[in-house]
Amino acid sequence: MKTLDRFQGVSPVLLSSSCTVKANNSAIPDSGQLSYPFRKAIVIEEIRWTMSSELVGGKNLGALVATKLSIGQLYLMRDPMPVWLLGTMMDQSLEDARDFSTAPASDFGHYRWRLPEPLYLEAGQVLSSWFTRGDDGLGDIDVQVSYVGKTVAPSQPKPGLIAVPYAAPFVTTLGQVYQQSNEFNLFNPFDVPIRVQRLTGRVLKFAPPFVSAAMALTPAVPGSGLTILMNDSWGGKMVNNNTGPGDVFDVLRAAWTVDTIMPPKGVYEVRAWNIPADLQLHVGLIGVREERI
Amino acid sequence: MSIPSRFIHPRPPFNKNPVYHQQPPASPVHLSGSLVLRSGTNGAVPQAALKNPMGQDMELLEIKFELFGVNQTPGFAGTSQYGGAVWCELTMGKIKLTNGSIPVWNFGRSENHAGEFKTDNAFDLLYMAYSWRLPRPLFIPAGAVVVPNFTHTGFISDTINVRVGYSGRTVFVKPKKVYVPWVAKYASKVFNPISAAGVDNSTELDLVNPHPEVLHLQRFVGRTMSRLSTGPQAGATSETAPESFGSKFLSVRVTDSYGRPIVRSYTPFRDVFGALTRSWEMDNGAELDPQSFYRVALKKDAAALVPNSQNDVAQAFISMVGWREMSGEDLSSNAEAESDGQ
Repeated sequence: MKTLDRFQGVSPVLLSSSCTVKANNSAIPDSGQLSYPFRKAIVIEEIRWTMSSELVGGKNLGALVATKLSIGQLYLMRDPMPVWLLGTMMDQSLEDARDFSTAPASDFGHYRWRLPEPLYLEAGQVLSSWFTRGDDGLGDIDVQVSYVGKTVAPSQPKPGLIAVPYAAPFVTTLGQVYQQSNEFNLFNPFDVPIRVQRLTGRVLKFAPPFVSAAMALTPAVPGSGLTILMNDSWGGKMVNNNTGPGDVFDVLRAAWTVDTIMPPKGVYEVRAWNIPADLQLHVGLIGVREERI
Repeated sequence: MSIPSRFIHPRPPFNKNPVYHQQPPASPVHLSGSLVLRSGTNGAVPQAALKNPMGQDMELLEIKFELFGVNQTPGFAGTSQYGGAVWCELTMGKIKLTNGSIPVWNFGRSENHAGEFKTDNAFDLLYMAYSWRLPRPLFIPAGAVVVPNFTHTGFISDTINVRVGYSGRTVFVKPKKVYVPWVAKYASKVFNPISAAGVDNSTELDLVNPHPEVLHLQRFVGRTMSRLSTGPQAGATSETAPESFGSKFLSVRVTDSYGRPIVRSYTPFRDVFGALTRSWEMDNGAELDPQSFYRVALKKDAAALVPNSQNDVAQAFISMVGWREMSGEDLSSNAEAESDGQ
């Protein structure tokens, strides 16, 4: 039909929902709002989060809220992933924007994850979001999550294989001087290889009521500050000398772009030394694998 | 392992575009002109300054805007931002590149938000820089010129010095097919950024593709600007204060001409137009049908909190940036017709 021909193009799409995440609790935003209302396939290219908290104080809220995303049984994260580890740090000032115009003052954090490959969603499928927090005791955090993408032109054939992003975190425990990741942290749980796009790394300074990003550059005096070593599954050296996380994960982007392949069941191991009592090291693995649909 | 992503959503062959990749030699060329705009006035840059001095065809790759001036709120330099107060209309002969005037910060994405805005507090001087890398190079025939007409909206009282720069290259091959940019905008009514609720809608004449060709979208850009009206900093403007205006209280819903949802639910402004880039990137992969439009609905909630802000007016600007195809002959005849008479 001629009328329907006018619908053959590719439209931008933005789906958004919100929820409130309490300390030591979890929350799920409305999946209905995160689904495309017309039964058409879409691709998601970017995910954005805006977080806000009405408690006064400097807080990088993306460090406190972790998320898991899944499409039915296909999961993008096996374990909750701190939101600030998913994308690169584009502008630190916007991750911790303050508003003193209202009382009490509010903190806002803006984060985005440009997916390594567009994520194909069949008609009717929903990418589910789930948020959780530890017992940080810092009051409620409002989370707005938005999926940004496009419709798929009807003329495009349904793919047999789709590229599904995968993210995995390693977060140290506060108060422990030495920490080592295990085989269930930065690992590939699948039977297919992962194309690793980047590793992300952040350091959280946890001194309530202030919870902020710390730079954690390489210390001037060897052995005087937080340093890390990294190996792959076979003991191959990834970070050979004790190096500050600010050096390994570029301070300006909080990321290390690697673009490599991690084999099935592969692991990256992180060993962290001299962790100050108020610092927490966050390391993320961002990649993509193929799944058959 | 290869990830076959292109089968999911093929992108235009930008890297294989024969127009973009001209064969050498293609010399770089940068042209610039400036003018001074008093509050509430308009003006144009001398066209001779923006014409290829080699007298040859050229391609325009990037347009840069620099704004600087003296803040007329003495002692409070660093408080005013000019990107929403200076608007620019671009034409090339009979060909319009913009749908009326567009705020200069609404052409490109914010690639370095902190770098857009610099201050010199010792002299109350302000410097702002915005750039727009065109979605596709714009072919400019010899003798033709892209004319920028600037308007100072009067939203602030500062006199603003404007410099516009064209970065491009001289080319020696006339393309059969050319890509003409198109930018349209919607400027909202003025809201109270904190205490009062309000709504506003764009019309079918704002974010519109009036052309008979499909418009390929590069991006949407969304910015907000607020102004202090009382207190010692009265008259100063800001993009980020109050942060809650764009991040919390102002939300956006977008549909297309057929009512299809583009932004399905009311979503905070800074989430739709990503806070980190002030834009929603399409990578030239989405399209707007010929002679159709997007309709934006804005909803401003009243703050439940106690307002202690001096900002009492705020405005939102949304633009749609894209390109359409045209034959090289059509472009040359329409671009040169006007310039021949000048």
